[in-house]
Amino acid sequence: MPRLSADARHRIRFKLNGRTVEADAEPRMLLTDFLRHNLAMTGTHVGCEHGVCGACTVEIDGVPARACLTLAVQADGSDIRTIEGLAPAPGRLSILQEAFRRHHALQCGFCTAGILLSLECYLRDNPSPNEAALRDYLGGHLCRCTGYVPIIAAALDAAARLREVHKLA
Amino acid sequence: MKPARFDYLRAGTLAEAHATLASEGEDARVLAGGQSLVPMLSMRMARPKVLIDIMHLPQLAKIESDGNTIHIGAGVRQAKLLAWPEIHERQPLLAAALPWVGHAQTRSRGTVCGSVAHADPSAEIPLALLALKGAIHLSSRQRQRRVPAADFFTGMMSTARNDDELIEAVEVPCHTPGHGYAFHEFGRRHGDFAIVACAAVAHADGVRLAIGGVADCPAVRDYPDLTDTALDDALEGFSWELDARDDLHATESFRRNLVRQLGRAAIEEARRCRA
Amino acid sequence: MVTEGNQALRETVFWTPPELTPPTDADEVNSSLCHGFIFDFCGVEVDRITGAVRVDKYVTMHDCGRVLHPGMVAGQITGGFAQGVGAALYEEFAYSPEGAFLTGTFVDYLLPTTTEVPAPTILHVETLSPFTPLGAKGVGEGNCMSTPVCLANAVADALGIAAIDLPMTPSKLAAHIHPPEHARGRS
Repeated sequence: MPRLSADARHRIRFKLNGRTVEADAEPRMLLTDFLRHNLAMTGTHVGCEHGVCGACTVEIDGVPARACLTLAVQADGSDIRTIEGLAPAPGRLSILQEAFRRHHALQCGFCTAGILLSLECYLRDNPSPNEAALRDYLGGHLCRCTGYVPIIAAALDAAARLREVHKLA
Repeated sequence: MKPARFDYLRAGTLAEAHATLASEGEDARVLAGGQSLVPMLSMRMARPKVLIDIMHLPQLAKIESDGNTIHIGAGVRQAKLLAWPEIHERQPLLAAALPWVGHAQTRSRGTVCGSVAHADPSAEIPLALLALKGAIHLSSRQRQRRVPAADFFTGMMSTARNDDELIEAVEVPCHTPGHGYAFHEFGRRHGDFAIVACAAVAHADGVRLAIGGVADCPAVRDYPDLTDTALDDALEGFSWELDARDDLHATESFRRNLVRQLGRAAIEEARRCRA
Repeated sequence: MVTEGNQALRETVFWTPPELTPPTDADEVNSSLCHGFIFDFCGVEVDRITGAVRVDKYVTMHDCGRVLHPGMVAGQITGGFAQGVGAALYEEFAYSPEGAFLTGTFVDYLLPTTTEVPAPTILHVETLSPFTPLGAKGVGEGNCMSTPVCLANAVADALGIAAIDLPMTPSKLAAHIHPPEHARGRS
């Protein structure tokens, strides 16, 4: 790949929620801003821009990643999932999203997208988590509203339902 | 704040990376996982002219072990090393230290060598490297060299890496039968920077204790098999030599006390693990 | 609401409790129609070496009158409790002696996470308010007030001290636990 000049915008292309998307950005543009402004995908939130709060967490090439700690240029060619890609169809919620709704695991919702993406990755690799392991894992996300209890409950509930679904499949 | 402008080069070959480092020197920064570098760019604490992305060089993305040492390439993410099936058997100290590095959501992208290059004084991976007598493999267009960990960390976030060099890999010895290991850390919250971190290796003739989070860079001492007041005196001396300072999270005397207490606990646990 | 064809009838009613009168000339006013009540108690454990505080069990009992939406009430209480834990143990607007702001990022301004906030035991007593149509009072941020105090009292009790500053950092508490450090060279 050629050296991309600081002073120009460059075409960045990646798979987003299963479809190829592209737009132009300077090398210094963060993935958070690229998603939100250049691709109009505003579901990914920006809480701190220094990688601590977790609100910007997305999935890059199968792993959770802070979009604010990723340059858009780094993401060229990768496979990205954001909150917009979680629902199975318009008007329907995924099992995890439905568990969050049922357990009041969100109030203002600012941290929620990041936590959902984080849990998507985690539950895929850890289908039978216990509370301690979940608390350890979700320590990488800040929430000011819920006190975390309903988030843990929703995650455990969703894990149980997902195990059921996979048994039937 | 947003990062200042920089060029971006996704290196297709190691030679490309070397060439850019040779021509740009300190104006170039190597970009691996970005978990330490990108926030520095966002806060404009780093203002390079060019970033060299080395994450698309397959030869750097390997974990290799011949039974004596483990070579961890610059492209190896922390999560990948933690998930390596042989990590617990081949190097228990690294396996114990890695879960303390950041959070799962940063270990998924951050690299082992990136943490070493960043050289935060409280970082766990540099500390483990120092305790294990590991080494850092540097390369430039001109040469390759191997720097022992004891010579690599030179001060507050500074290392022996020259501006035209990149870290190709770090090397740690495999577990030696008869050695015991322990890793203890204290921070304000789970996943936070260590206020004091201790990595201990107990071997046949004594113990090696490395302390992070206190001095400007990780520090290490080798002791014979001291016990009781002799061990207390040794740790007392070490705690003062680290030149602890008051900061937001701890007083200097609190840090010294943790060096004495956590250091002792780490040494005793490492000894218990000595087979 | 009655529908007739495409028309709908709608009625809007404004109700103000008669107790909420305008301020007096002396600027006195009943700004809150009714008050909820909270009673908290907790058990904490302070690590003798590090001074770190672990909340072993926290019980918070609320009287917010008639509970209208249990999920939202639990959400408010748990969220307020977490903020209280933060205020008691972690959060601080800290400045250097020269006035430099030290806690300007989330690296240093410490919000509690899943590993710091336990699940509180929440109990309810419903004493219906005589002033509201549904008997509801209000519930929200109350644990921001009760939780820091309850935790501070528990830690003060554990350490046998009379005065305590928030946040109760390990470094501060350790100073109450350990004897004064010897000067260098004498252990």
